[in-house]
Amino acid sequence: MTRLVHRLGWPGTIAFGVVLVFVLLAVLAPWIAPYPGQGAGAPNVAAKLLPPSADYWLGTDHLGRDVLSRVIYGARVSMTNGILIVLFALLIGLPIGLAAGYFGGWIDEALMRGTDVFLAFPALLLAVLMAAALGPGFLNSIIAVAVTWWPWYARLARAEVLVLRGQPYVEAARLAGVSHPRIIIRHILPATGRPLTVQAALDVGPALLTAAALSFLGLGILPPTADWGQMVDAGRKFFPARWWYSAMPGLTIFIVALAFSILGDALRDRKGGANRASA
Amino acid sequence: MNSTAILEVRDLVIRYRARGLFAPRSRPAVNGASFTLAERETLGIVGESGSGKTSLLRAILRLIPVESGSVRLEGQDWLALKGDTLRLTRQRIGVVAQNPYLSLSPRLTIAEILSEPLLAQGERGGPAMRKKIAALLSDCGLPADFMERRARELSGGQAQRVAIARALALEPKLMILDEPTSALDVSVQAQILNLLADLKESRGLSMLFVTHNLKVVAHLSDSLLVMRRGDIVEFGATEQVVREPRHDYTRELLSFGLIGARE
Repeated sequence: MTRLVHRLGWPGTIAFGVVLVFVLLAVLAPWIAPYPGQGAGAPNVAAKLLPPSADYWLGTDHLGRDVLSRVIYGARVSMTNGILIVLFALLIGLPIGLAAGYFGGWIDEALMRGTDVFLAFPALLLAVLMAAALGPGFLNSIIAVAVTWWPWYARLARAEVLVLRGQPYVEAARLAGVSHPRIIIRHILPATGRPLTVQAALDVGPALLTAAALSFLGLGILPPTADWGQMVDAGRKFFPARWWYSAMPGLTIFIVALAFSILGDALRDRKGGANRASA
Repeated sequence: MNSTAILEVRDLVIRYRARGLFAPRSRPAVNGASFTLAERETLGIVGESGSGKTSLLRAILRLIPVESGSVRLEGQDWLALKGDTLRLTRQRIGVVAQNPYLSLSPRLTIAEILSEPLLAQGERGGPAMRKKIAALLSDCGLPADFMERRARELSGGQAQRVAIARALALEPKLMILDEPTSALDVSVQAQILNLLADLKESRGLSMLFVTHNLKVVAHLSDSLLVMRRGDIVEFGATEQVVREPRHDYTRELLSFGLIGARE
């Protein structure tokens, strides 16, 4: 614990704790949620739109479901959304950026101009268009956002590789007859890991926000599965009189996005990493 | 003296491309270099920074393109090789760079660094390879227990010995050394030079030794090539060049060397 604080600093450690709590909430939702049935979507019309109370800590929604339980169940979809979007984006962007930076020349030109096409569209607009084209649903909304996200990783990876490619130790490996794939995997990839993990951690928050925006627009996951963005949207009709319905999931999105962003900052500034010695 | 040429360079011109469509053609970095390196001989390439010696070296290593001219390695047209053939033929040249801390990966252990060329050649990892690596280290005057260390835990001299061991891993006949001592302390420089002299003797190596310090290379090399602003101003047997330099520039370089010797 003290080592963690030393490495990440207090804000980073707290942010890490918050992220961990939400991961646990997502994993253990059926056991933690006070009303697991309602969290999963079962209506409870007898208790419609009740304000926060001892029975329903965060109030209830228009179908009488406990908002706390819904928020906890929503963590499953929203957290997975945020993390999967970033992973998908890395999966596309990283190889493209590595290849463009490492091989240079026309390969670089072709790949990066292709990347620029995606960057030319406003990200949210492209995501909305993609989601509308693919239709609503969990996987579709992730793909829609990842498609707008990967160009940033491609650019970042390429920039890192351009620096590394000229490093004498990479050149030495080339002169020793090491093959290109092996140089990329053994020398380039480990060194790009640090800036990319930082960027990925910073991006989980915004990715989650974009996914929430898609579900807010009805392009994400469909009810009755709980999702924070979709809850904010559903609660909008009852705002501000029944403010808790929208505000509670909204606040949760805010907290999680903030935690990932602080964690990313802390990872960037962390002390004593093994990778520090890289020249 | 053996007269078989291991490396033959003819009229080599290297020019860096000028930026812009209408930019005037830049001066060539190397302007028609020709020389021959015989087997078991050492050629010192000397010149100040910007003289083109590093460009020449990088072109011979196929790291930068050549405008015209030819390079033959053991009689083979070296500039025509491509792809995997180039990759595998490259292994016949051992290369030592200037700064060992930059040329040895900060992430890998010494054993991993030394196994790299062996693995690239297709050898299998395991006890046999470890034995080979230990032998390489001891040939370069290092104990076998350095294997698990990383480059940053070594002194400059030790790290450069590791770099030399890596260059020797595939038993090349030709070694190319780019300022291998200039990043080191003066006392360590002498040790490294002695090591190179021993290795040259025991392994029958040919060496291409690039440096800005004539004094360093004078007692190691059989012939000297002096470069200035892309031109070869002098090429001949070391003794002859040192005793009766034909060019003012060589005399200038020699005087630096002598001042260095008095210190």
